[in-house]
Amino acid sequence: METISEILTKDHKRIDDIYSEVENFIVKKSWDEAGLKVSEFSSALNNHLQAEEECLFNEFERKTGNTMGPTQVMRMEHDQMRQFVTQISRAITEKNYSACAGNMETLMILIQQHNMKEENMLYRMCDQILSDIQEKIIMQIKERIS
Amino acid sequence: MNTGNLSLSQAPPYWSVVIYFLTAPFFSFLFSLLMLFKGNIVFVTFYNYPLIAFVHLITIGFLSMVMIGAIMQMMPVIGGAVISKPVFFSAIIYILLFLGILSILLYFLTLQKFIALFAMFFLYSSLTFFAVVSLYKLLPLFLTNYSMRSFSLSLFSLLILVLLGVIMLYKRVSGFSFNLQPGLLNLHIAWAFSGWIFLLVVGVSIQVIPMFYVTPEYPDNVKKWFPVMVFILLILYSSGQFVPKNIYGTWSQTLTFLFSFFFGFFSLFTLIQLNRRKRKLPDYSLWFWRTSMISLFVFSVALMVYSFQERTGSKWTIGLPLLFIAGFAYTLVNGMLYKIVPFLTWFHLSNRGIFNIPTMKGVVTDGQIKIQFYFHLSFLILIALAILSSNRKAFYLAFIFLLISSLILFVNLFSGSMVYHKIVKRGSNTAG
Repeated sequence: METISEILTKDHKRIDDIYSEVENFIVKKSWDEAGLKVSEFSSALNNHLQAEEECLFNEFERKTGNTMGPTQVMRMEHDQMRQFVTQISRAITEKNYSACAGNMETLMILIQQHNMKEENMLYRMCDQILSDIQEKIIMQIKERIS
Repeated sequence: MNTGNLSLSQAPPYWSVVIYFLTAPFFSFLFSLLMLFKGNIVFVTFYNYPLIAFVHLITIGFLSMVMIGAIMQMMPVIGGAVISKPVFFSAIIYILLFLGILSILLYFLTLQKFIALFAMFFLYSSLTFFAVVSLYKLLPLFLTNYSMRSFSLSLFSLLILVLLGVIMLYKRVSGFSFNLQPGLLNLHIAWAFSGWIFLLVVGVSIQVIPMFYVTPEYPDNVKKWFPVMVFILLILYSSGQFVPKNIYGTWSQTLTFLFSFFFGFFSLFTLIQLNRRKRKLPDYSLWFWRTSMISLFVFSVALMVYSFQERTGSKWTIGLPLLFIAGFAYTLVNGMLYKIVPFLTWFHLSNRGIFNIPTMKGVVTDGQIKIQFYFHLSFLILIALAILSSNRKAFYLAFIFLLISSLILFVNLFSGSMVYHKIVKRGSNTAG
């Protein structure tokens, strides 16, 4: 059976792929397609973040009794990502290439360093700590990200 | 499981790592300046005292400075390994390292024995302290995190190469007689090139390339075994002492061939990876990556030729280390700085809760990076021409380009860090 780590890591790659497509439309200045793609990206990303916050982090916090630790930092970075997506959507509507490029690049690195922390540490801890309720969590995550 | 130690936000404070990145171009600037005034000795002999000193300005002053700063930054992010007193740790190592670089330069220029003692103390204490503390933090991740496995092997190599360097210095000042089969210098260079530098690049690449450029992953077997195999080769190379004399030639030749094969494999594979990237946004850091990997590939081919028949002459004795240090390592580190410094600037500003901050491309612009890349590339082309054709004019011109390139690199990074400084100051003034 797949683990929480594997499912969420796979979803990171799927979101990265959609991200690249948004970026590639921006490079070609195909603003209409970029607008459509960024909506797809936004909902894929939001579903992922929401699945983590509601299904994973809440359980992690309940189990460890720690709400001010790693999950708090992850939630903060999630908010930073959401702000970037809003700015990128606006820049696409305004057909502002340099604002798009600057925000996309920074969001990319923000997402990737965030993913490294999740994939290398937090998910692995969740796999262990939440092993008894893993099936339930996986079902909830799948409902949200699919 | 104890989650108390895991704090995913514990990035070291901004200046405690950025200082390493801002200092590096100073040493490459100093190196170019010294090469312009004293560098013509290269045409007489490669292994001479001033040149050894100058080369250390690049290997320790530029490369190791950035590598140490980057490891301090990356350990908490990739491995959750947090140093508990990051400012103290960073300051101690920085000061000792800085003094160590100046003393080794002064020693080789003046050959005053007491300066060698300072150099030994400063370099050994700073680099060993750094490697031991980092290894202590990283070793628990050796089995599970392949990138950190490569980092750990790189840090082991650092411990060995520093020890060998200190032994060589000690021999020089005390007349103490000691040697090993491939020669202390060869061992020192092997552990520095294939261990400390190459294994760190491997560790960074397998983690960062698929993520930052959205490429397929490196195959699991490569991630798991490649760094370990390079490390085993280094151990085999170092055990020449115990190999019977009649087969030593073949033994050493085979190992050099294998090293070249590993360098070639990694550079080609990484070039292919970069070509398979899904992102198409112009990214000048990619130019540095590609130039670096092409240089490593050329180096691997040259080393392969060299392994079949040991060559002499400056084309080989200077060309080989130059391809590795300048073409491969310097280029890559230079390119990575343009990802690290702008991101750190944005990240630390954002985490202070300051709004309306510039994005990475606002901290160092694409235009700034592009200009510096062209200067760096011109340096590489000119120095290659100078070595291949023994042309002194090209040689001096090359170092003028490196001088300007280091200056632009410094200005680009410094102006980036000033963005941070000004916004923080503005924020605290407003708050006050």
